[in-house]
Amino acid sequence: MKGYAQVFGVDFSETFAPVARLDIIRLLLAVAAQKNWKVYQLDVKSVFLNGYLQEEIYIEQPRGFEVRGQEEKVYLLKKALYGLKQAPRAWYNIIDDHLHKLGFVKSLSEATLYVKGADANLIIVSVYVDDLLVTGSNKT
Amino acid sequence: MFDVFEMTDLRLMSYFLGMEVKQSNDGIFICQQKYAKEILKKFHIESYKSTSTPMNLKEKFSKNDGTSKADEGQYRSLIGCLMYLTATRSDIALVVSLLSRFMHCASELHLQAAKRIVRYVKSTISYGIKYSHLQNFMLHGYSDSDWAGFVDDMKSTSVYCFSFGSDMFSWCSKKQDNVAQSTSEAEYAAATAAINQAIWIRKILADLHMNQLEPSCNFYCK
Repeated sequence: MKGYAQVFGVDFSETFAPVARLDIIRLLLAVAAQKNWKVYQLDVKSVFLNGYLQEEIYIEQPRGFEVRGQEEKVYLLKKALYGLKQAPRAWYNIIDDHLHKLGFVKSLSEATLYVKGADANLIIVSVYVDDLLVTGSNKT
Repeated sequence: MFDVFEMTDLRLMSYFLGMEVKQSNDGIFICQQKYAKEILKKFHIESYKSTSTPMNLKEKFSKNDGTSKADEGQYRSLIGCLMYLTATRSDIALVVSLLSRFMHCASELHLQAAKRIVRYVKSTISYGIKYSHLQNFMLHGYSDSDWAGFVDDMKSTSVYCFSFGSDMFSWCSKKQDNVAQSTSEAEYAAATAAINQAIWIRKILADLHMNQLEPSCNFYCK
């Protein structure tokens, strides 16, 4: 992967992706301790491969895996790969969309904090790239 | 969600970003003991004598202290490790912040001071943060500053920290951007930084449906 060969405005535009602050993680733990909630952890495998690209990006055929007779051709990427500048952002967009679809509301003050429901049915999710912390009053 | 992404359910949170988390009925305890042990090993401090304090209060660090240059790579790496350790160790936050100002011009004296922190960590390796259930759950904030404590540019250092009544969850120790002309100006700058943080925390709490009903949190300036 030649992420360093990417040109701004051509191969990538937005690269910022938020991560949870440690303050928030400790705050969630303090809140969970107060409410006697349990905190669960989920992990996404090969996280950056999930993101879809908005830009048109081509890669050379991997060495040793060229298609015989068509060695001069290149691949057009549909999804992100590790090493692309926009890979973290592409992943954040996917998880953000997905949590929205599930009915979570994103906190305006912290872009990695999502809340769903209220009172006895509250679920809180904090996203740290591929690690998701889940807590809340809902026991199931 | 498991249908959409390939995921592993790690069940109860127990180890997160190098932070060990113990959840029990009487609260949640976090520490970085494993990480601290790795630091001791990496910098060969295991055999050193331990100390009971992270720094010498009378010592003032400065850029040109007359001692010879230290190995910068080692110093930066050590400070970097200690910075990460402040995730659960607010007791070393101040001295790590002080020493991180010399990343570009570390002297032997600075390196000795940094190693002293590790020797302190050695004697307090099991320290962490315990959050427990409280009768009175309320946001408390504290702020303080020194005055012209940094001899190289005469700037002051602000600190603030926040808790809900049990252990702290948010803290900061940072050199101020401006040169304060009086102790009250320095305190004011620290209070401003703390209040910004307080407003942010209150917004987050509101998003979690845990509005703080009091008009403002308990706020103490020393």
